[in-house]
Amino acid sequence: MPSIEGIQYTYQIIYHKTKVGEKLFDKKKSPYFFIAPFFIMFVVFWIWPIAQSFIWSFSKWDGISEKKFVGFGNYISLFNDNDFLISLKNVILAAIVYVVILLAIALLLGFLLNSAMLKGRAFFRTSFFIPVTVSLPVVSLIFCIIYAPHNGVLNNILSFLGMPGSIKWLTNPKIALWSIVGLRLWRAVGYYTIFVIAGLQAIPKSTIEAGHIDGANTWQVVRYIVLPQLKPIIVYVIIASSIWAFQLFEEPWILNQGGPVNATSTVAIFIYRNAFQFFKLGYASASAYVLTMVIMIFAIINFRIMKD
Amino acid sequence: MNSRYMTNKIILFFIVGTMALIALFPFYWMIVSSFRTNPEIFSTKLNLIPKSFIFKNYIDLFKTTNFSRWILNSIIVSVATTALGLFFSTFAGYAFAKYNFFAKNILFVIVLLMMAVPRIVTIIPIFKLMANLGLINTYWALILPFAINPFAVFLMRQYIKNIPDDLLDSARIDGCNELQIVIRIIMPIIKPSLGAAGIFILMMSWNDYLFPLILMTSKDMMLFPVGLASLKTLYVVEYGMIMAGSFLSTLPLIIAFLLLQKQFIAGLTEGAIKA
Repeated sequence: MPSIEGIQYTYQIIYHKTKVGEKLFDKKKSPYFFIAPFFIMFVVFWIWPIAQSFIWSFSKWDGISEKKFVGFGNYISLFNDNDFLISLKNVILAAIVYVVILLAIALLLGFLLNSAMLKGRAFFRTSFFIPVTVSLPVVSLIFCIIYAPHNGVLNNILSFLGMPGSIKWLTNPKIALWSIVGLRLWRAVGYYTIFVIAGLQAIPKSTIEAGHIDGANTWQVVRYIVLPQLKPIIVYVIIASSIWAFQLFEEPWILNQGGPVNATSTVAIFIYRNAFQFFKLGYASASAYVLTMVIMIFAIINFRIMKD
Repeated sequence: MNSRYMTNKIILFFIVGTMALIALFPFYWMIVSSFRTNPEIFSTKLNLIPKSFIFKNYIDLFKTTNFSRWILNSIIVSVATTALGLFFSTFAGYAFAKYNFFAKNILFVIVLLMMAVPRIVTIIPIFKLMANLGLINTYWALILPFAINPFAVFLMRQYIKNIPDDLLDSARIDGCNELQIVIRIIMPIIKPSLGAAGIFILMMSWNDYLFPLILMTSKDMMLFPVGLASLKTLYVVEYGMIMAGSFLSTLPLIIAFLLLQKQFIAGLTEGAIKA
């Protein structure tokens, strides 16, 4: 049996005598070799599927029989489909409320955690980040028992504090969507606070001191010096969190299957149902593209507002 | 002045402390509930502090469900996705950072643009593709689509850009070819960044629910999030057992987070700030 040294030696000889490495990996060809594995996969599993579902969104198809071209038919039916409209409304409403509250809490918490007055900052930062490590499906399962209507811990705490403790967090159609927003906030706040802290630490101390010397109070310093400098971070938090919020699926699906009666249905749930339970692939693709359009419009509006 | 400073300090600590309690409570509740029976979890009285611990949920979890298999599946999928993902994104990131080649800028813009399209748009074509390839209920169905991560490419490009060109040129003069430069010079320098990008890819893969729900349907091939959630649809729902599984599946990430805090936070946030 050849020893490892032997193999290495033979390899070295072949490698140096034939100069395979130098010929293959010269400066001209290398970038193509390096980028090819990623790009081939990227086309197969990302760009091509995106193009395909766009094409499919203009046809009627159950996945097995022949595709039938229907033009904008799917899009027109979508806007006459009550299930879809409710799902779209839920998602937009939930996303806006979620993003606004998220931003407010993340900014507040970022300021507090960045304050030199606070003792145990490292400990607090760690504790606020811990929810991020819990996966969304698991978070949903935990809140399943927290939100339980009969003797769930949240209701128990409320009645312990003397408040009405029989709220149907998940089965009351007026409350269910907001319970899900609350759950999502719980998981996300710590994550986005990190961005705020990083943004705050990037602001030079001298600008803030200059503000204080000029006689500005704390609120004025925050309003006129700190917040404008945080703008890029704020834009990022809004865009990133909204992209995820619009795709809301796990929590309402695991907790409620979109119920009660569509109260927590989302566009992602609508896509899942139509594609994988009703086998209306063209219709589901069209709804995915409507969602994409909504996300893009939301992002553009944000950029516009934040520009001035 | 001094006493006012102290009062402010105490108020601040109290506010942040309360918020931290809220942040940690569901986590605490998961652990406590995993040692309780159903009647104890849904007790008529508030019982925040456990009086006794029962391990029945943990025993049942391994005896009556496929939990160990689900976790094994999740580990295989996420580790393979991360390894392959780092390979793809390091080489692609290096090419974008350090070379000039045909259509480089157009390709990079395409990568950035595609990042903005929600992933759910791809799910139907990917399901069809995997079905045609016969890869449904195999690990590849989840590894391949998630090993390409435009965001990780973007991250690696940013990291590698910071490496001075002189260093690479001197390696070339010493007789390194381009592949050797990546393996011997670039990789050792960006090791911490590889860790950060790796954590990013790992978290995406470990936490995903929708793609595994569709692509892994047989009982033996489920990943843990789908498996655990499926226990909720049984006739009798053992919430304690579900919490036991939730805790066990979260524990590795918590430990990894506490040990590698800096890289964890960098992996999940850095690219965004640099962008």
